[in-house]
Amino acid sequence: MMNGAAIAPIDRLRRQLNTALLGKADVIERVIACLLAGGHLLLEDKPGLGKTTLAKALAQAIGGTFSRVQCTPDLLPGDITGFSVFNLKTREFEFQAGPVFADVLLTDEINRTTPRTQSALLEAMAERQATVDNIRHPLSTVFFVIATQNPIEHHGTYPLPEAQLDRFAMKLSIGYPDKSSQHSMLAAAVACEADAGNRAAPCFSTGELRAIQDRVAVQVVAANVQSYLIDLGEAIRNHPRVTLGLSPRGLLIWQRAGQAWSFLQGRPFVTPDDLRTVAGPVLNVRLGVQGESEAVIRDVLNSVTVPIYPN
Amino acid sequence: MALDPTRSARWATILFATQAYVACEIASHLDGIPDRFGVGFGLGVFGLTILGSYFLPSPKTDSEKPPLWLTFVLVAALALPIAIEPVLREITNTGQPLEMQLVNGLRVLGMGLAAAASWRVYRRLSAIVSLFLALFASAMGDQPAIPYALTVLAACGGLWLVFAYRAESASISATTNILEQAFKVRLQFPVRELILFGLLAAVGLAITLAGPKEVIGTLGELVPTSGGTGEQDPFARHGTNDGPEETAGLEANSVGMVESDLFIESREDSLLDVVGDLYGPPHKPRESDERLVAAGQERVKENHKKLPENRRANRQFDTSRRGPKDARQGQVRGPRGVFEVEGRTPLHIAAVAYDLYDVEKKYWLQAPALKGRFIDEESDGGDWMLTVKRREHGDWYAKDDRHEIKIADLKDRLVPTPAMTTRFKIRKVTRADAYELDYDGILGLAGRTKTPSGVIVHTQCRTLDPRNLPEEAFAVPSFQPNLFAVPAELKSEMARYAEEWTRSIPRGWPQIDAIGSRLRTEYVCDPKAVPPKGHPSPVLWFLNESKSGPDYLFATAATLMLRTLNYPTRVCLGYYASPEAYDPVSQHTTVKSTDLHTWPEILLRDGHWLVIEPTPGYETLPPRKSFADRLQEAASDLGRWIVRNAIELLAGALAVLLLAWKRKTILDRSFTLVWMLKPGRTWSSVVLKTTKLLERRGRLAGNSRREFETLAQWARTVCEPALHMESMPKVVELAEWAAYAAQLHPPLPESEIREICRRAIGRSSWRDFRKSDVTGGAA
Repeated sequence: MMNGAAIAPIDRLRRQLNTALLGKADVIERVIACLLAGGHLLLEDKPGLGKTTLAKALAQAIGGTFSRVQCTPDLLPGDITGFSVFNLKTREFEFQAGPVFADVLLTDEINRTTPRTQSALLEAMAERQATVDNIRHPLSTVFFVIATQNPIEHHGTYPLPEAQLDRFAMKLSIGYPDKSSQHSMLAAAVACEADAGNRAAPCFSTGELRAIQDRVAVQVVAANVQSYLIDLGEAIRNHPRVTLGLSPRGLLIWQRAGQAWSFLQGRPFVTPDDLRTVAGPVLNVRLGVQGESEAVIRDVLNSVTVPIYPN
Repeated sequence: MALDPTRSARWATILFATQAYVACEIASHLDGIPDRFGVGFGLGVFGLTILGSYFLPSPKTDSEKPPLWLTFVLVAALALPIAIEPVLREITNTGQPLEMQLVNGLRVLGMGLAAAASWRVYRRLSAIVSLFLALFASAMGDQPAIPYALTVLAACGGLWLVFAYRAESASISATTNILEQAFKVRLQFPVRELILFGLLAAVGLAITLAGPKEVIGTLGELVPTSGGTGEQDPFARHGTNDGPEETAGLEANSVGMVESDLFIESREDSLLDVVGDLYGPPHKPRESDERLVAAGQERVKENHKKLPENRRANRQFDTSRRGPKDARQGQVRGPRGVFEVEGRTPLHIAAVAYDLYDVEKKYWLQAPALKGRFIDEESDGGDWMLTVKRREHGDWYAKDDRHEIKIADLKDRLVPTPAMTTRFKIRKVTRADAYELDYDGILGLAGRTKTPSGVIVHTQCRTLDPRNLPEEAFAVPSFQPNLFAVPAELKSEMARYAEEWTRSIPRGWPQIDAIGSRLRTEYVCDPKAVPPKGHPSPVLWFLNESKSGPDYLFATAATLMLRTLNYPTRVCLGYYASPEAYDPVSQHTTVKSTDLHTWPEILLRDGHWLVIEPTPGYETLPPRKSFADRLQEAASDLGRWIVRNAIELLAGALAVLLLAWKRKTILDRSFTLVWMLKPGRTWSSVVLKTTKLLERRGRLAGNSRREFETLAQWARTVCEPALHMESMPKVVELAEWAAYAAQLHPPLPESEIREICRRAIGRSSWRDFRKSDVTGGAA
């Protein structure tokens, strides 16, 4: 069962995020899974659906420092990673850390900045360090990037290539809220003051999130479940409509996401159901598919034999 | 429609193996009819196979290897017949040779492999064993049922190929659905292939039944022989040891076997001696009778050649013999019988014909030999000879019949032919002057005393249903007056009997049949019944006093009575090929010297002799039944058999119906019983066995878990959870623990886990696992 110490902060996190984003419990659950898996999140959806709200709420709930970058075509890599400034008083160059050194970084409309700037961010996401003037600066141990992009506008955008999308653990869409959630949202907006969300307290104490992430990493994954995962990977690569298959990194991320999901379900082990549940978000971000990826993922999941009994 | 490929392949394998088992069972019995033990054992093996197919484990993936213990079970199946042989010998006092025990072991193994045919390796092995058994059956058995059994076996083999290939195709790639989507291929039930298979089989059957007979016949004779017998195709080459190996000689009497048969006069027993053995020696006539014998010389054929010894001695047949010295069993020396008959029986093969009855001497006198040319060569250049003494063609005949008569040890120069023979042949003996008619319709080899052993006589004779004979079919009195002659001393009595027995019966066959029927039903055939010494008339003694006697008295009485009714009748002495003497191994009817028989024959207008059989226990050859008649007869036999065994059949049918109706419940209870007897030692094995049992219930309910479904997904599709189904989610949770985290400490105490499993099993049945209306299933 889930470690009792982890229940409370997770529940608090869940409550806070559900308060910030109404009617999207399933999306929030996957966001939490992505956080616990230690991966980065890509939110792709139309404007005004709460991507930034969710990201800000998540950042506040995690605690720590929060940075936000609005990606524009004139954004430079140094604007992300930071740069050195010459101090006239000390007559030395001083490093000015960029937004990437925050615990939580919200990168809005990542597809609007140039590939050069995208690379700088994605490199930091992958290596958890930033190199400026040949000096490596480590990032936060819980460095978590939430990137957003608009699937509608294509003019003046620089779509992330599949190879770089692989840096993200999951890609989620929020979608429109249902009517009751919209009612609640509107009612809450009337009653609440501006910037009320800024007052939410962090859900995790210092080091607690890291501990939980470490706990997730040791969730039991049985050999038959790993075999199942490998079979799924093979099936994806062999699918005729897949142009870019699942990489070993993707396989690792999928397993980690499954571990996070099983942790959230209160189990100490991963089941094939866990893998199937997180398959969509994990695979959507990294597969190259002709046509709709959902159909391909459904085909694959419906074709591979699930291990029911131990080897 | 899409059926589980592995399951359909398994059933096809069972069908294939069962048919091979049946074919071997037929081949292992001489008459082709399995005995009770064989049927019982076979049914038991079949039942175990069906049960085994349910209980034996199935592979989850194509690469999975079968468990080792299954191999031991199959080895035990192979050894079973050998193991029980000592017990069977003790109980039944009969046994099987070792090679048959091994074959029986192979048969049981084949069925065992079929039960485990979910495993590809066993599926293939079962087919290999079935093929071997088919070869064995075809090589060992030549019973008439074997070709039919092998035909069915071939059909089953074809079906196996279709379904096995389908199963293998489905298992080649785990991504079956991907293949279907990508290549627009649907692995559905092979309807088109089965239709094509059925069409091919139907075409083959149609060609066999209705195709060109020459082709079918030639093809048919190619199969059993190494090159054809020439029966259908005159240009077919004979294979080694096929057919006779005569060589044509320059003279009529030089015909014989290649194996240098002896062409010398033999001092072996003649036909006279055989007749004497069976009927008793003739009584010595009074001296005054010898003048009559001398007078009878006028009817003896003028022949400058020396007549065969036996022929001269049989000029007369004494009807007042003293009976055989012992039981009617001739001494068999050398070959099994006199000749072997291949073809339908019963068959009357006349050797000597008698026409005049000497009432004082109580003798039948032989009929005169025919003068003129009565045998001719067939014009097509083949070996067939025609019996040409036909004045008009009768239209009352059914389809001709063919026979082959192989001489073994015939004590005569007779060329044995059935009554109403129209053509005959002895290969390479193609000259008409090699034959002669000693009597009307009775052939012999010209100038010979004995027909050589090994000669095969091919004959074609008429058949008819006597009920179809019109009144005018019989010859008129002006033709061969001897055939109507009744001694004055017997005429009034014979006429009285005839009139009494045929009163108000129309002329023709009804009258003839009436006389024959009365004799058959009211008189007893007793070879030892002889008239008192000195009795003036054996036939009257037979008719009035004893009402029993040997067959020649039946023939005499019938002949004299028929003559009083103006039917041209003679008495024949010859051989009777009885259906009871049929040997299923050699597929021939053996005719021995003890099969000598006497019967009357009536002359028809077209010159053929109609055999009449007044002696009880003897029959005449009926016409070959048409397919429709045989089918009707088979249906009638089946109906009678059903009526005789109505109670057993009804009980069996009810049992089968009950089993079929409740099969799922019975299977469920059986599986549950097995689960209760062996629930498992550890908590994880208990949970996993419980899960398997629940899955089995789902299969019974038609709600099988699909391969890509998790237990939780499948559990959501089962019937609406009632109170007794509350354990299901817990069992699923425990199953996940057992399957994916067995090394961790269980979530609950073991006793509680067992209790949950017991509740889940005990409070549900297979019916609860039908698919519910709740939408569930795959992602």
